Amino acid sequence: MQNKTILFVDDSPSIRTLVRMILEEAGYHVLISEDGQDALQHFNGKTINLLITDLHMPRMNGIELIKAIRKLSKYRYIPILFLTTETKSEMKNEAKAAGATGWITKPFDKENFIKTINKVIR
Amino acid sequence: MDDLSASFVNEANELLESLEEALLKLENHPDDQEEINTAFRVMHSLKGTGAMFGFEELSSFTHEMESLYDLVRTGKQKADKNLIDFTFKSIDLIRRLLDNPKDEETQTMEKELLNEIKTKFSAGETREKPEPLPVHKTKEKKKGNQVTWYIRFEPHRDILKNGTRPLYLLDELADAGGIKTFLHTDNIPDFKHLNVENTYVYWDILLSSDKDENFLRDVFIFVEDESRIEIEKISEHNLLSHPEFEKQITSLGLHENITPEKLQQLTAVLSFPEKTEVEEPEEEITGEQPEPPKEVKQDQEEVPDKEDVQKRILHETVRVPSAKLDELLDIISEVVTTQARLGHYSRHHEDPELQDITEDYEKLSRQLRENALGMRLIPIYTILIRFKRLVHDLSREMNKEIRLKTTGTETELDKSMIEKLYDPLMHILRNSIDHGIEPPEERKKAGKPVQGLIHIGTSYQGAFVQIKISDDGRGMDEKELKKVAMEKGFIQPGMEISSKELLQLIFRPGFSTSKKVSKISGRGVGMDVVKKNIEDLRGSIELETEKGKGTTVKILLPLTLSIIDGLLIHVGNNRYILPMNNVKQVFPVTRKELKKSFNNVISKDNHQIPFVNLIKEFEEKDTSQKELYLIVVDYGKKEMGFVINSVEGKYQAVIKPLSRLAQKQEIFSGASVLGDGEVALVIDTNKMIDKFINT
Amino acid sequence: MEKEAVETVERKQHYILFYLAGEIFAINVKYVLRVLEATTFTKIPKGPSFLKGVVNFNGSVLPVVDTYLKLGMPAKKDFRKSLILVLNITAEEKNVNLGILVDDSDDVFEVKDSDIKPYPATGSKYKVEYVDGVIERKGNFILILNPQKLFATEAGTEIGNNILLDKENQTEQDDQTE
Repeated sequence: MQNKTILFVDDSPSIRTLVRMILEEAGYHVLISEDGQDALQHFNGKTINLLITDLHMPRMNGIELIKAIRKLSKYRYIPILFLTTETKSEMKNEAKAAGATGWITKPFDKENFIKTINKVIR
Repeated sequence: MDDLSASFVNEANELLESLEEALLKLENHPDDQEEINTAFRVMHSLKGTGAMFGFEELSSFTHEMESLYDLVRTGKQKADKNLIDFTFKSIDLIRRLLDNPKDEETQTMEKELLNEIKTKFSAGETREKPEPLPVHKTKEKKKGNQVTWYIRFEPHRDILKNGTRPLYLLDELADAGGIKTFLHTDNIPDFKHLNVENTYVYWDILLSSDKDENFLRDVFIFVEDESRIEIEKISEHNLLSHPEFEKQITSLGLHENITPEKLQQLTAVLSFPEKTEVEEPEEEITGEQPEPPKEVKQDQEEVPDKEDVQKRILHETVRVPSAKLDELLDIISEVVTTQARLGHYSRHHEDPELQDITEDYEKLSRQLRENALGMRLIPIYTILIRFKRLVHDLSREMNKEIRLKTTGTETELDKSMIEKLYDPLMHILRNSIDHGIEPPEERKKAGKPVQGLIHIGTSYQGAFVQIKISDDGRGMDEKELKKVAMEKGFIQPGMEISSKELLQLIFRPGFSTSKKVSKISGRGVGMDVVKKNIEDLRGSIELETEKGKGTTVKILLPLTLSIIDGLLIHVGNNRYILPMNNVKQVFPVTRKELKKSFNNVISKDNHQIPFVNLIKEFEEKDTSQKELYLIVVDYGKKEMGFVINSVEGKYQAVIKPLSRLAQKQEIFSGASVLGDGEVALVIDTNKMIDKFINT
Repeated sequence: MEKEAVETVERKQHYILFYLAGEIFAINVKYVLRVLEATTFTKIPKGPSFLKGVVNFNGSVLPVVDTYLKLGMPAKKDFRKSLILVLNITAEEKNVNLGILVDDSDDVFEVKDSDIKPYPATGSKYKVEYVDGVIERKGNFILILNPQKLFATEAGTEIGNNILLDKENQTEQDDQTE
């Protein structure tokens, strides 16, 4: 579990802080970005083991971000989880179609959050 | 967690501010989809994030608001005054919920508002409610019986492309208990047709675990739509730990095709210590054939959100760099100046055609100019809104109770000016909060209301905008100020200094009255910077204070870049421009009338109008015998008059700053280059009157 | 305050020459933007006394200083033949353009720094800080004025700084030069 890098993208600063805390506590290396555009800059060749992204963000939203990343050969297969408050399936399907691995439903608790992450990176 | 909650509260406040801003805009443009969306988004975010940080009351309330705004979004509810007023009320409530959700008053308020939503806004409507958020359920772990599951997992071909590692899923199952897997490779095509990016294998899995079916389904939650997953309980016992079964199973090949039927045959003969009853195999869970894996192409952008894109285009506002607006304004200034030259030329040439063209051109340039200036204007509330929180936070931090009142927030200022106002205003506010307003006990003792008041009032004052920040705090003590000034060497002992001069010292670098350094406003540091900032905007700043009563900071800003409609007038041989919006009436007056007037008050239309004779005040020789004019202007609620020689006409004036050298006078706000290349000064009517009548 | 007096010996600089009421002065050309003909001024009623008025300079509003008043010379009434030197100086960390009225200006010349003699601190008409030095040229003594110091304070004060050494009365004198 150690030394895995997770990029977390969300436009809410407080969520970013919270998630960073949880992930670091769990022993991950954490990068954060506030929207898709910003996040893309991290995909510059360095190793990212997991991307977790919000869907509703200014500038570049989560779906666009996922699509963009799936086009980068180095990152075609990295797991991508998206955060969603929507319980409707359309959004999930759209994100899956764009290449997302899975989702985390907001609000989440620490335990479930880490569990979901462990599901896609081990 | 405390810091985290605080950061959420901060963020929520920011969201609320943007909501307030959106509402203020909605008030004027109820159909503005963009603002409606903003409101919706704010509620949506508050709901989601709030729940994460344990603000459950807030989350459930914003959930209702979100539903309400969903109605607005879909056109089922109008963004009318009712709704906006109601939303303002809910903002108050949300702030309270952020502050102290358990407060009784807050809870009553919440109940009232929720009720109001029901009665006022959804009467008879069937509204599609987004589902409320699930409150975390701590999963009840049914401890106990180890049962055995049969699972068939056929991943869809493209599973890797979604970043899923099928083996991780098997690992996850393995974590839940004992596992036995059978790998099937019969779907792998020959090498020629093999796509290394696809997944062709599938598994049969036996799992003995105390977990229920939901748990198992959860393992496959991300892939269940596209992959084929069958889950069946084959035994109420832990088969894998049954020696007989284990023997049987291990004798099977790695690739053995396992079916529930086959397993049942195997288990039927087994004996278990207690219950032997075997559950009826439930009916096939996935009767349907797995859909042929969708070709998830990676470049299918156009598919999902066509409609969304269209909407976005419809409501898009175009962002333009400020620099371009500046450039536009420069060009328009040139256009206006050129138009003035054209006007000048055409007046001296009797050519009706030319005069027609000139008139048209003038109209167009006026429209152009108003348009361009309008683009740059922003109401001042855009920054004041940001201060509400500052005051709230700081006063909390200082254990003070302070209310921020704002008036005249619709007053518009040029964008560049608004931006540059933020820092100085913030500094002044910080000073008021930190040094001005007293702690509650002190206020009580002084017989003041416990809650302090800071008032930011904005208004147009002739060609200026005035921003007045006053607090009802302790004010400043002149003696104290003098002492500090002496200590710091700003004044020498025995030196006479007027209170006005003394107060001006506050704006000097290095002057401070604060006894100790405070985290919030530092120590007097910055009033010099504040002054500089304001002067950079060609404004002026003044401070008034009364010990025990409070302090007022007055900022006057010129409508700098303005190109204004003016009246071009003559006083002696010089021409001046009077801002048209101040001018009420123009009367001819005779010298006789002037002579008869008593105490510089003249009677016109049964009005007694105090006046200033500019010819005299500007020390012009009044040699002509021609008729004079009285220009009546607004002065606050009163009327005042200026006596001048003649009126040349209306004039669009590009106001240029008077050089710093010339700014020391107070009665002209700028100058304008006329059509013939000469310069005319722009009169600031208020200051002019202040100077000649009130002193 | 800037330290401009310290210069290397070998340096040569250009100066513009101008006349005021029969006296000759020079200013370093680095301060001079343009020379304009003085046409009509727009006077500023109730403005500072040292300001003659404002004129249009390239579409912006240029304040013009009454140099005669400033330098304690007899007031001049007729400016029809006068010129305006447009200067650019720094005042309170800002670039400021201003014009100064002169009778005439007809030459730019080069002077070695070493040829500039110090302006005597005593027995002279002006305070020494406003004069960068004196040069002798064609038998005339020319005062090199420092416009930076001479005019910069104008931007900050209501009344022009008093630059005369012997506090001589600067009020209106009606006799007219030439």
